[in-house]
Amino acid sequence: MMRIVSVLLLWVIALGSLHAYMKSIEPPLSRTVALSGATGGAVAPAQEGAAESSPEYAAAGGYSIEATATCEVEPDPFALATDGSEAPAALRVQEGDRKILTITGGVEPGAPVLAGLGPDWGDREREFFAEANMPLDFAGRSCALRLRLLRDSAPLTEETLWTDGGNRIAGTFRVSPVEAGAETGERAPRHE
Amino acid sequence: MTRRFLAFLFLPLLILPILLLPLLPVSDASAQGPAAPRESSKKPVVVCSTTQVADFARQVVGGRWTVKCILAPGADPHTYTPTPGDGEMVRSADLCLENGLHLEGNDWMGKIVHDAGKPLAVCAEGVPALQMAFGGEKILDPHAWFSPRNAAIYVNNVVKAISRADPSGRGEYEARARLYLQMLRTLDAWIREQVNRIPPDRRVLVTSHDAFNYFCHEYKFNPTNGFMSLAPVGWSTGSEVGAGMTPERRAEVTESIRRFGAAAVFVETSVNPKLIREIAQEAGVRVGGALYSDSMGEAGSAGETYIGMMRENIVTIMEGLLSGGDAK
Repeated sequence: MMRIVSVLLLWVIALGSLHAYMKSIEPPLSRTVALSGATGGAVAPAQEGAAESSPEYAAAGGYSIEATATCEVEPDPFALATDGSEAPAALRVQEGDRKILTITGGVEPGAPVLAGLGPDWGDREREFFAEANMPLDFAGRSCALRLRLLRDSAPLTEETLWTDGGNRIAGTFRVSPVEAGAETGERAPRHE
Repeated sequence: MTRRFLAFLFLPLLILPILLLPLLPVSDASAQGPAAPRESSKKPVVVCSTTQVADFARQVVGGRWTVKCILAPGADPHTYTPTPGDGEMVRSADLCLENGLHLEGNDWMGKIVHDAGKPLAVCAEGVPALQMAFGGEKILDPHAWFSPRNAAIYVNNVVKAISRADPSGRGEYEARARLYLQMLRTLDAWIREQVNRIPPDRRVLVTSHDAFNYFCHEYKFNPTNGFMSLAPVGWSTGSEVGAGMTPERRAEVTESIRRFGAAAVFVETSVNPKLIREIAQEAGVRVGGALYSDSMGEAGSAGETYIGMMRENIVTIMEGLLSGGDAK
């Protein structure tokens, strides 16, 4: 009986230590905001949590896009918000008129933000438009926004956009089916 | 006989398109809504109280509307008295726009628009207004456009009002507004970069009247005065509460110029420069130039648009404070 209890205790200690170790090596900037409404493109309120806890795309085995700004972002005071239904975005990724990701609150520097694209996504060439807005007194300083296309949480390709003299980063991120692994099944290491 | 009968039978088919042809553009135009681009005489009219508001409206409506402005460049909105011609102009309007926050002294715009029974939109609505306290009364500063981020709120309000009046043009108005808002963002970044060249302790801005509170607040001028305007005349050049010049204010400003070492003082294009010139002489500083404040510049001048007005003001302030300081 004592032997069984000892074995169980050792297992609990071993697993507990492993869990504690995994927690300790997790970088502080990996706090992730995951969006629900992964495939429909509808904008849902951001919810904070660990990356692996809630994203629906992961369960669906699909694609997702990750945006990481090197500076603090905040809602854009120069946004057009005419009907009152749409709060100004701090960070936004869209594909044509389809909103992939909209963050209206502040996001800490280096905190990745994730949005799901769904399982059947990488079938054709796609282009995203992304923008992030820094506080106004950031004008003149350089900030970057890294965009990564992920499949099953593994990066396929990425692009980095930089500020150009203002407090806003805006640009496009193009992804071909090859990069998305849809035609060949291969995963391209980087976006060219 | 048969051929003549057939010709008679098909004749209306030949004539009918010719008869219907002139009607086609009419039915097309009616489907485009009240503000669709048509002959210039039939364009809807928006009447604005001030030059800044009129410029924002022009940037949004493009050629779809005729934009008219009551105040001429250089006119003072605080003390303006409307003329019968202004009433006529407002009666021809489909929409009226004003600054609000009591910039239009004694609510002159609201009164003539009300008399004409026209819709009126307030462009400063939603602006985080700065408060000033005078003799126990709190007054909201109406010069909100001096911060480009507030100007963005004005533009949003113009888009809302214009789109409500002409829903068919909404996409066009929003597209223009998006580009213009980017220009305002660039203007703001440029101002910050320019102002950064002035050492913080030399950012002392003395002007004719209290029009520059938002500007000082945004770009950190007058730190010793809580980032608010330094001026001998209050928030209005008229006779409202907290407005006008008092001997105490004049003495306070002269003392501030000496104490904080203002390199120059600035007159305003819409305010009589006599007083500020006297104060400059008393304090022993030079007049740095004329700033656009309540009104923009004449057509064809560098300050005829909002962006041009802000740009010229910054150029004048930089020149006045940097070279003026060196000359002292």
